[in-house]
Amino acid sequence: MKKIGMALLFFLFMSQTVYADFDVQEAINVAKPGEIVHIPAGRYRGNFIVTKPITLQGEEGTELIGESDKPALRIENTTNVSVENITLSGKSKAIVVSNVDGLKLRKLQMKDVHTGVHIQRCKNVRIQEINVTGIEDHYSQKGNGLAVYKSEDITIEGNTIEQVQDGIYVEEVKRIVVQRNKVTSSRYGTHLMYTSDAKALFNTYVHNVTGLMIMMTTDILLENNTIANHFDFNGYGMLLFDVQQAKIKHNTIKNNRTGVAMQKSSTIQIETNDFQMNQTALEGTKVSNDTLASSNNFTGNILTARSDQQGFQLKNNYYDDYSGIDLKDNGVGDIPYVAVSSFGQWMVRQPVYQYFVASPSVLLLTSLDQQINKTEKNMLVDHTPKLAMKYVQEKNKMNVVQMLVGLFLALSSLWLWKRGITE
Amino acid sequence: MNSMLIKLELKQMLRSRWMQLVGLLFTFVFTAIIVIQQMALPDVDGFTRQTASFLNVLLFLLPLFILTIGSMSVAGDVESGWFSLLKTYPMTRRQYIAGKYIASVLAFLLVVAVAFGVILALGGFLGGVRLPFIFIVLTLLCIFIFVSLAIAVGAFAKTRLFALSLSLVFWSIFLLLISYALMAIGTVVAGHILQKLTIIAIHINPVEWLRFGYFIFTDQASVLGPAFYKVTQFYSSPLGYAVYVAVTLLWIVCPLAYTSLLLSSFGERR
Repeated sequence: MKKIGMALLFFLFMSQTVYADFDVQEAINVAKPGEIVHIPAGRYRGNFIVTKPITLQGEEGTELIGESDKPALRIENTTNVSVENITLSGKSKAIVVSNVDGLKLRKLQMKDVHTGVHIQRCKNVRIQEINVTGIEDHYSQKGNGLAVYKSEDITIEGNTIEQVQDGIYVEEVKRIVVQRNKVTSSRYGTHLMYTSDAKALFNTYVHNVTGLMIMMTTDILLENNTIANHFDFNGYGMLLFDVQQAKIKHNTIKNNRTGVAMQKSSTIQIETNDFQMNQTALEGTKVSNDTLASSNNFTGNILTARSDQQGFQLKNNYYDDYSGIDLKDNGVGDIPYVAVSSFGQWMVRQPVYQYFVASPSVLLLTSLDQQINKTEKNMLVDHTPKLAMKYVQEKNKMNVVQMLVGLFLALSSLWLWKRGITE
Repeated sequence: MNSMLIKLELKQMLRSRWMQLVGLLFTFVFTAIIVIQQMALPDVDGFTRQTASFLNVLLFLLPLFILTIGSMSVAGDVESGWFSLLKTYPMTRRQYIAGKYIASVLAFLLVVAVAFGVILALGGFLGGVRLPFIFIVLTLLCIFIFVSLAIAVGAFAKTRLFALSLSLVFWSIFLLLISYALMAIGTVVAGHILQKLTIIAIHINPVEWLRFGYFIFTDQASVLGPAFYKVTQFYSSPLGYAVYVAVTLLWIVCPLAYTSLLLSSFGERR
């Protein structure tokens, strides 16, 4: 019995370390342009290079393992390359692509890698259904999930990325669509730098330091994304720095330290988003006058909006803390909603004030503010606040156990009280 | 003798109309705010408007009720001569203070038990309303600390009216004035100085101490901002927890020790 156990253990150990006989690099070398190279299941150690238009197709159990600190797979100076259905691992980058026109990466798994995919100077790239799990270390020691530099016409969709520095890092790219990706437990969900004509659609960013970090970028559309639980120190749902012409629509921005922060940005349109339970929903510093937040729903945020002296425009939003009435019965409040508060302005100027957020003293101050600031005409004032939002509240279910425990506690306390009096 | 005193004090407190009204008011306000907020807003984790409301109601109401009722109870004893009479019995000053402290703690525990019971029952009936464990712990700490302070205030005041006004002064200082003073100072000093002053205020203001504890023990210290990263990191460590417990104990023991001192000098003057 002991011998059988030992044999099984030996087999198990060997099966993890044995490498397949198939020579991947040789197969790539002999393949003619346009051919499909099938890589059978097995673990292949090496640093493989593709320099011709071919398709690499793996199957269940096909794994390329990068040796030393070099990438497992390099694709360079070619056109029309596809890589599908392969697992990649190694200490360094899993895939590095340079100077390629026409690249498809699909159904790839990357585990414990420093960087998932690194793309530079490429055109017409499509990255789909890739899973990247980074190493467990400080963000500074990690690489990015998918990184794209100096490229054009990129589509990144349906990928799942976790535990990396930036889930999707994009720098100096023209025309990029990032859609239906999910990034968690990373520094930034998606990080756009020096990019133009970018779209981020239907992505989910949860539990990162910041969901969307956008810097020095122009002409972007951020639509239908779910951005939640970014409440760490310096955590933001979205942070836009030096951004021009951005549309932020139909997003759910929930439970972040700051929902959307705009710094030194202009022509930002924030429309029809749901801001729920954020500590601060909207923050603006040095934003232009044409920045407008309209038709959004603000629910359960501690501070709706804060800004420096310049402010930004609010129009036709729903605010759950609006106390006005609608005598005209047109769905719009009769008195303006004033989001400006002394405390909010102080917090922008002096971050140490954040300590007092939602404290009893600030609560009272804000209540007084709301009376005093009714005279405020321009800054952070919504002259047409909506009175109802299109939001269906989930019906709560009765909790019988909790109810009985509560009844028992209340009644027994009252009985003890009465007994204490009479005895 | 001590258990007799506790029973007697507890009975007097529970019989007090003021205490009964406070119990009713606390239960009503607490339940209304918690149930309405939780029913109206989506259920998410973290520091949200509803948790902020919960925390603020707790920090606004409970210290106010405890300070006024607790201090007037002790001051009433001194003013009416009841304390002098008690001293003719075989009972030490410490026994009196301990009896008073335990009786007051038990009375306020009953008040919050009724309130929490109603919240749980109503919340269970309506669904979607929870009573986080940290709030129960925080409520207990609030009672333990403020009953101690109330007894010290009562012993210092010695008359019921003075005790009432002194309690209100302390309450407003703890709840509002220290924070406002810090905010005002922050407009003229650099951020790092304000940060240090705020850290001092956290330790010398029991309300801030409890609020700070909430953020530490719910792992939401980031709400306080990056300026407080180091101090919150420290208090999130095992050593920090030990220091938190030690400082909390000091907040309970020091006012009681001061009360003992005050009552001994009162005895000597008589």
